Amino acid sequence: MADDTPGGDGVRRMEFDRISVKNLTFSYGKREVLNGLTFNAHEGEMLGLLGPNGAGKTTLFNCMLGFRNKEFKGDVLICGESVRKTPASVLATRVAYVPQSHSSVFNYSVLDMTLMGASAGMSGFGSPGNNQLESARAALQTIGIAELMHRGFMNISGGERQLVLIARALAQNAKILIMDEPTANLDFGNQIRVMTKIRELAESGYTILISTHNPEHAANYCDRVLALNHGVIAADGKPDGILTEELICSLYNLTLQQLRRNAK
Amino acid sequence: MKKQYIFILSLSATLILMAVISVALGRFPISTGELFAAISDRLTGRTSVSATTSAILFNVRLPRILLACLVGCCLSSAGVAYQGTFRNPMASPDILGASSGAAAGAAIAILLELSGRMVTVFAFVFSLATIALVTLVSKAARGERILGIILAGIMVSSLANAVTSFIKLVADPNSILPEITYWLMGSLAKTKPADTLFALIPMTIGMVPLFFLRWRINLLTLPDNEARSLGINVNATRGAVIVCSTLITAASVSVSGLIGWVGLVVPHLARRIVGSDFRVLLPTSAIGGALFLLLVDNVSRNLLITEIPIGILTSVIGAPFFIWLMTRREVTE
Repeated sequence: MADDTPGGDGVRRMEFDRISVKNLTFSYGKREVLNGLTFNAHEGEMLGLLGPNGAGKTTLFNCMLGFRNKEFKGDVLICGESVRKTPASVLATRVAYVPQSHSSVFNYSVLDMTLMGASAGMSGFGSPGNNQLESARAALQTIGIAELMHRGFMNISGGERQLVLIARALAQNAKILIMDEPTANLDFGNQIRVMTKIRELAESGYTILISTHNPEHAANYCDRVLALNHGVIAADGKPDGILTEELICSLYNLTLQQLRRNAK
Repeated sequence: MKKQYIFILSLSATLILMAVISVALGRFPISTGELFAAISDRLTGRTSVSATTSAILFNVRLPRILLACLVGCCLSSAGVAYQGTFRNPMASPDILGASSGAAAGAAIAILLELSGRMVTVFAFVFSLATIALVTLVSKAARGERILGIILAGIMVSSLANAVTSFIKLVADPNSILPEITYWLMGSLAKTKPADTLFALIPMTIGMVPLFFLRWRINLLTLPDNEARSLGINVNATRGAVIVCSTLITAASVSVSGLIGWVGLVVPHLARRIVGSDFRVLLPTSAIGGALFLLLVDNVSRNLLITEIPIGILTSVIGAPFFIWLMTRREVTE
């Protein structure tokens, strides 16, 4: 599965960053949410996105996923091509979105849920066939939850549900994963299990942009940390270098005292 | 998956068997043998059954049986499709006001003392116009899309209901009003072959794309952002599903009047049996709906000497059945 690079990238084997965000600016009316963001991410890199509520993380994701094509200024290149010029069905085979584990009104089987990822990029009418079924099974295997295949998505635990959503993203065959606080609703053990899995995916070549409210996750699992505050990048670099007490304090509006009390 | 397809096949077989049995039911006796003889007469041009039998069979009983199946199939497909697109298991075919619009149209036509054919046409046109209005209003509305559509639906159907009420108020209580009331109760009693044909066209136009879109309805049940990230055009797909569902609802209601509960009860029962995957759920609901309405219509025309309007029966059967469905513990593996 790691071999056949999606989106017809075999043809364009030039060197380019998987993600390239250039001077990205976004505003809701007069309120500026993102102000000139610029960063790149390459193959196998795991980027942790830190920032307080309202820092613009979700808006950044929405722009990168092509939901806001007409509204943002600057550009977002995914696999070397602007999201504005990429049709949604093609973009879905290059970048996958992993939301927070959520409940669903209708109870699909884990396999069906994963199949929804595998059918990404399928055009027009019609239902997924055997190829899609195979890649859904393979994705569940990769994540190590193949035994849940026939269980209902609503009948498994929150941690397992999160893993299913990750498997669904893998089944999309996209090499870039954008994850929106995937550990937010999980207990301690599940947080570690999910983060370990995500780290393994980065090792195997996926480019991962993951937002988190836990600086320790960014420090322990990510190659690089991007700190977003008031719509600008407050820091960008290796976790060891930039994750200082000062940064955390200014990011989350804490006093040094409060932070140290928590660390004890 | 295999098991589910076998279930759909056996459900279809049951439907066909029931349809054949239904021909024999009724005040004028027609045996199953006569049914086949009459059909072969038609094909070969011989005359082995009496002209009366043949006339009743082809002008009354068969069109009605066919229409009951079509209306049941469409209402329940529309219900299940609306439930998926609106991510709301309580959605029913009349959620956007297709039924209220049809009722207003029919009431106007009856008030103007137009022919039965025109009543159907008015109901159909008004039903579609209502949904067009709902779409326009919801486009202008700000905020969450689905909520906007549903609120616009509630608003416009209330407007249509007001029109119907006003017409009932001014209608002649001796001749016009009973006819309006009877239409609103929902009935297949006056089915003519032409009605069945009239309904068949929009029903086909709506059902075929819906059938091919059924995998995509699965994706529409996800939050919009997720569905978009999986590469589908959410607004266009949802729009297509709404247009198709509206078309088949309008076609059903315009020939049968207001028949409630089918679009709610059958999809729920189907979901209990085959699960949520629309690839299986939609066909199961469609065939199940046809079977359900066929059975209810048989009761409607055979239980008492005078016909019981089918809309009353579906409510009498539907409501308690739905309570049973809701209170029954869900079976989990």
